[in-house]
Amino acid sequence: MSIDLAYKLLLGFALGVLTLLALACLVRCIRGPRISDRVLAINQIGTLTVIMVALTVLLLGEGYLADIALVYAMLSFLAVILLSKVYTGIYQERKHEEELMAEKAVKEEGEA
Amino acid sequence: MEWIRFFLTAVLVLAGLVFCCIGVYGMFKFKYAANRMHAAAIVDTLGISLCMLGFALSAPDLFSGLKILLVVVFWWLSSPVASHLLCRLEITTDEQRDEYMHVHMATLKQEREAAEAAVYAAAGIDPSEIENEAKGEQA
Repeated sequence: MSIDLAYKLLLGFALGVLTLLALACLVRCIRGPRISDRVLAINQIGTLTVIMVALTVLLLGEGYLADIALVYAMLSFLAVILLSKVYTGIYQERKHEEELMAEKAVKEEGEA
Repeated sequence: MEWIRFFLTAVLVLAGLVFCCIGVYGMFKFKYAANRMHAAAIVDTLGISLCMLGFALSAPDLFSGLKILLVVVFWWLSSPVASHLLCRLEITTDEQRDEYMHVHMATLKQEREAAEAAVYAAAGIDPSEIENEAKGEQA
């Protein structure tokens, strides 16, 4: 068995396993009952994708793919930060609106 | 020499894959988001570092190997920050978190009193008046 074939077999197997894991994370993302479960699954998919992109450096023998892995890591980090910030903001806004409604109801009751 | 390098890479990558599998399995085993974050951290630390170490060992040239290691360094710096924000999201949005999480009773009481007081203050009503009215109605 030549060394190239051995590398191809190993990397192909690893790529297949990582793909299955990413699909499992997608299932978690769709099923997750709370929004934090979904964001967590997205974070996980990002991690697995970074590993996959770094794997293609060996599989294709191209050095520049390492830069792409680095950029993808930054993008994935930014996505998670933004999503969690945005959903915290949405929750607080909704709660504030509910408080305003409750306040209105209390006032009307007081007038009546 | 080439074969030794191949076997080192294979051992490291397969070990990393095992840790990735454990992390993803944990995401299905645990019931709540905060528990799931605990399992997901395995992939973010041990899984990615072992895989990347294996890839860097047999990278086509020195600099791409160093870049792959740089990805690990960046991920180790950024993943705790992301986890922290995610945890804050979970704690802010889950109002029933005391059912499964140990929340200090004083903190919970303080939080609920603060929320109530905010509603009353916004409506311009003294909460003690309402209590007195309720007592009067009962009497």
